Amino acid sequence: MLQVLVNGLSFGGLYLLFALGLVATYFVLKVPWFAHATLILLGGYFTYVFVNLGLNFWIAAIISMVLCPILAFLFERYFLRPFYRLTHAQFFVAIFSFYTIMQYSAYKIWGISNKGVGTFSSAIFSIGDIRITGETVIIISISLVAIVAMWLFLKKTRSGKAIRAVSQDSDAASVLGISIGSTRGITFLISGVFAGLAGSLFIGVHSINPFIADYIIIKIFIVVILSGFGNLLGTLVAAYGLGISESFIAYYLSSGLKDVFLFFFIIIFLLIRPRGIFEVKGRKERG
Amino acid sequence: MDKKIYILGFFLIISISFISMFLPRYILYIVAMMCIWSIGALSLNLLLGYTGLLNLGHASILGVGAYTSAIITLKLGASAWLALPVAVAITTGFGVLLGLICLRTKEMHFAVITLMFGIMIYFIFRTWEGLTGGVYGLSNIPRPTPISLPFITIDFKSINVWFIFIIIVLLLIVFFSIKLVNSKIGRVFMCVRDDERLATMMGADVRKYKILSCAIACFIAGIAGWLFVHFLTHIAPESFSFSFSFELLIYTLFGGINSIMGPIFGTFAIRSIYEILNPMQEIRFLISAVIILLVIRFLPEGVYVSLKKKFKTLKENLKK
Repeated sequence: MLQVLVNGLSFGGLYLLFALGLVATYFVLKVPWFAHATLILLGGYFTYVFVNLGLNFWIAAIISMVLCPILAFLFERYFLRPFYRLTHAQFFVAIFSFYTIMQYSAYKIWGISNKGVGTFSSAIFSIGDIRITGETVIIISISLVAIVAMWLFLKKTRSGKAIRAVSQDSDAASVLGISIGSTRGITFLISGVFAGLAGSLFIGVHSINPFIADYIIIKIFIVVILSGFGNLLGTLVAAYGLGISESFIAYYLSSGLKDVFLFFFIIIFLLIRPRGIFEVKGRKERG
Repeated sequence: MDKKIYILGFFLIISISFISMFLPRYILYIVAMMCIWSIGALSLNLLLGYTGLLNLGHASILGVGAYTSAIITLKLGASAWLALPVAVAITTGFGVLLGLICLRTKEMHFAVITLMFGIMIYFIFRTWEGLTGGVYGLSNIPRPTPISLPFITIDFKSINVWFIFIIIVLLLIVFFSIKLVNSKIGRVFMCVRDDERLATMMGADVRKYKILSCAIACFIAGIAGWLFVHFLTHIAPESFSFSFSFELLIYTLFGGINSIMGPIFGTFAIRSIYEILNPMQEIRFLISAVIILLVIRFLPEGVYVSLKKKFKTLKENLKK
């Protein structure tokens, strides 16, 4: 029973890290930038490359946390910018095209086989008959540190305030002298850092192949939709809730039909509360 | 006017069926598949272009229709003709469900929720092995039983008959869509798309019309799914992954929304490009991604609509 809970918490931490980067970009884009999932994928592959070059896992992770933001920033500045003025459908298709291009580039470079780097912590703690791996502890603590850091950044720093202002009303923000372009750049840098971190931890625990991005994207979407689009507390609750409920469904009902049960729960949830657990009030929709 | 269309359609069918006798099987197969996908794109466009609802999980609705029909014919042993109304009823039910969700959400959230639904339905197809056959899908799905008319028997084993049948269905659906768009209902749809408050003010029940639009689109998608499964006689979840929902959207945007012929043009154009680049089958999504990026960057209205406008101005210039 508690063992199942611990497993769920470990997945919840990963889902939280996946979703945080997308939440950051959602503040300014108002459209889920779901090509983020392939950025997580690339983050994992960067770590794989540097570990194979003989570096320590943590150094490789830090390098990937530097490379991913650069990539995200360049993408935003040189590829995404011409598409801001389009309709939703066109913007979605543009994002999907970036997603496909990145996914298939990864497929061409690293092939379809699973790639892993081995575990980053082999410690095991036993409390009674519950076994907690060092990986679980590290993932949960990093994810909690990450969400607190994100919250502090948004509340306390100048650029965090700028992001919140743009998120509430981009026209009013630009009238007050906030540069929308540089705010977008900063959010993409942040989302890149989260992508590198999440990708590195993911490849440290599981193995990755290019099509794992499709799994990552569905988890991100469930978390983001349940959390009510860009609410940090909601993201925390939804990510851990998803991880825990998944592992309980898999343990008690059926692991094969896990997705089916989850699907029906989410349909019912959305019919009751379509705007997520914690509704965000007073924010303008894009377009 | 109406009489003209009937005669034109009749001669079109006759000439296409005459030409189809001399074409190789491979070409017939490809064109039939294009027609099925263009029915899907057309139904998506009724939703997106005319009511302004962005459904990003449309391929999964096709998938629901296809899987329903496959399961009914395989597990219950019913005839494919009996499975058609059941499959279409179930997809229409999904459409009503979509409509109910759409009433409670704003545009952006509706798009993301449908995208998530699309992916989840795909995962259900993949994981519910007892019912859907898992990753390998279902095969040996029976073709529709022959129809006996007084003079001839229409046997669906031959690809020529299938080809003509699919063309007739496509033409009927195009005809129905044009009628629908030009009717009172179609005008209310467009009014809802442009300004919801205005539509309410004019006395239209926006809720009812949104659900109706979703139901009609899913009804047509169900027919496309039924054609898909009984034409191919095998089915796998990969055909309904979320890439294919976007594929449908790409066809629609390539041709241009707000037109009936646009999605059909887009489907034929992009799928022909795939066939030309056939040896590079595995990177076809990459190719369509690059093409659509260029199109929405430089021709945001869509190729078909832009070409139509060009011809119009050219004609006017010639008159002068």
